[in-house]
Amino acid sequence: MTGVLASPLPGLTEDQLALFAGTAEMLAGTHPERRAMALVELGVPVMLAAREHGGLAMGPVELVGVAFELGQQAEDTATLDMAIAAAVVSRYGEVAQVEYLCRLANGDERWTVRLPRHVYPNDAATATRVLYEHGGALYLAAGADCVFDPQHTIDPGRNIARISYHPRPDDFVTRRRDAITYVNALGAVTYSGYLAGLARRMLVDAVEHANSREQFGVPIGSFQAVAHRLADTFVLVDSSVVASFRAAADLADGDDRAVAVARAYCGDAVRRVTVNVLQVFGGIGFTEEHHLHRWLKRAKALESAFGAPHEHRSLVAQAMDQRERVGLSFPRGVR
Amino acid sequence: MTAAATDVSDSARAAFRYRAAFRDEVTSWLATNAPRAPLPSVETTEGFEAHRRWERTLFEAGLAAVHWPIEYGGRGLDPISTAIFEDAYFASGAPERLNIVGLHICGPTIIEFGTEEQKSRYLPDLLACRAMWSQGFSEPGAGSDLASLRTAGVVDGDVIRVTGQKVWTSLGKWSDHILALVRTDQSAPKHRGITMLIIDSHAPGVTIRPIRQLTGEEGFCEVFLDEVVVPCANVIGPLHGGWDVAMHLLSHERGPGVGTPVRYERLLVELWRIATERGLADDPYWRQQLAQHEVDTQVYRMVWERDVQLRAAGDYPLALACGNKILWTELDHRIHETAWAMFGAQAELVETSSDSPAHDGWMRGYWHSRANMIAAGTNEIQRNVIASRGLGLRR
Repeated sequence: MTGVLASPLPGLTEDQLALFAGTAEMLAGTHPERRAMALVELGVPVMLAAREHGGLAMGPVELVGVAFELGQQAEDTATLDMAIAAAVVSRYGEVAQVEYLCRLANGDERWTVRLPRHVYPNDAATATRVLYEHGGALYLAAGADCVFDPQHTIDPGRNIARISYHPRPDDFVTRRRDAITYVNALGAVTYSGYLAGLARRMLVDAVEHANSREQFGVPIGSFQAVAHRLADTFVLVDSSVVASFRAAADLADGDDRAVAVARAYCGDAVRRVTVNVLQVFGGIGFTEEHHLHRWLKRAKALESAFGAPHEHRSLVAQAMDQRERVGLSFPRGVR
Repeated sequence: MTAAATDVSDSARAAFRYRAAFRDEVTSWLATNAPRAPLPSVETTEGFEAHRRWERTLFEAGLAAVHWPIEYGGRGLDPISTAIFEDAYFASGAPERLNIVGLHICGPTIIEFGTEEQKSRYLPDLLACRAMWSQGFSEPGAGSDLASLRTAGVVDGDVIRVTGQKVWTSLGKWSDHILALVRTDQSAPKHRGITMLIIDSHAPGVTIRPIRQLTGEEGFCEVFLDEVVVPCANVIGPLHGGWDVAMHLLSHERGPGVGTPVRYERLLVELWRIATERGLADDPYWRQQLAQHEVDTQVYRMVWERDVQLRAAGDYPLALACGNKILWTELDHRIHETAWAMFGAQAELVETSSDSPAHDGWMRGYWHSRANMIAAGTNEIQRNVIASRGLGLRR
């Protein structure tokens, strides 16, 4: 992420920055139809799986950073769902299930994750396995044992279905509460990063438009109402980036208390960004001819992914009740 | 386990251990030495003197201005350690600092732009809170458009005769010195003819009149200057070069060091307690409201911590400093609006009313939160700066 609108994140390592830059370059230089395969080659599906399972043993920060780059391109989210499913199976799966992970690494399988808080993962109908939450337990279901009822969506880039599955004992992964918490937290923080990416790209495009579109003999960005909307958008985007990466860093340290904060914040922020940005674009932004609609629709479609803002606020309220303030200690050392 | 964790270097770990130890030192010193009960208001002479005595205590412990260089009586701390100090300070509930303008704005300006003679003349008394300082920038006709200021300084040999008027001078009625911007070259373009100089508040020709705010407080003043004789030795920075010095100084008004997150965390703990007392804590509406403030407060802390690190690295973009100011002031305001709503019909009552729920601190805080969106550069100006300097929007 470069340029005057970049959100500097002093806690990121050189390796992380290189990974994110490499992901951005790959996306820019690869034909859309080949990007999913390119992400598999990059190792994204097994990014968080243990090395002994064929994974890259990376952490939530790396996944959020990749999600952020995907969000900027309004790229397909299926690979993120794969990474989330693989992370959970690597950590909590039975030996037999863990063995399937290497098939994910070499592209022989495609997985997805379906939770009560994530009911329409993209491209689920083509998944070979579905990590499915049912009755407080996780199952690794074969795609063939699921029923997919295709749903039609306003978002042209999403290919979704209602997924039904009757739990089979052989597919059982875990009933541990920390596993259910983890899969939901990992999903929420990852999608926070994706939403922040959508928001950032919309800001960049809106600024470019405001600088180039002239009316009344001047660029429309010189009108204070427009300039202030974009200034507000800048603050929303920057703080969303900080929140999603910081929540990921905490989760990497085993602390999930900031995830609900980040997910609630990023959800509300991107909602406001879509309003501000469409106002700046005006009529042209409302057409299919201009690309903005893809970002607008993706943002609206994913507003509730891994929990809507108000649901995460309820979690924050519960934490307050228990006097567990979402306290973050300062400094976080090297971050 | 993760790649990120294994990248931690030894010197970074050592820095963290040093800072954690410093935090413990500050916290424990405050636990022992901070006043047990809140001090009387600075509005009263008794309260002012009580705050001044506390500043003396901090000074004697070497904690008056930890960010100042050691040679001028500070501890030479970097921005991260300074932020840790402030975090711990406000977490402890210690009194509001008295000479903030002096310690954070005037002092650092003299340190950076003053002569050695000026430093030795002014800094010791400033640090010890023997002398109070104010900023004389805004005028009735020059607020957001500061560069249009008209207070005039006529250079006459080794003195400058100053005539004009300043306004919004914080703590003006207590001040001993005013760091002022005056126009010394009427023929130069507006930014180029301004000089920064130190005016003795007790000099002949200086009249300071408190302005009564809508809260009844007299926290700031108007200052009338009538042919005040100021020695040229009181000029800070180059003659006619005061604008650039001022711009540098104003950067200290924004960004971390002002809106410390722990203030809002403490407000929210108190607000949850009030909600519980009033039977509102189980109501879904109030829970969502309070949780929203908690979310915004924690995100603000994350942004603040990131900003402190950028400042420590010497690369803190102006647009982010402006954004920081917008974030904490508007958060502070929203929290106080919720508090006002929670108090219902009793919100309007002052403490002397028999029905008053003893929420006077919240009422004062409410109006201060309204003022904060105006002071130190209105939030509209902050947005203008983000738009032009941050986003590069053409004018």
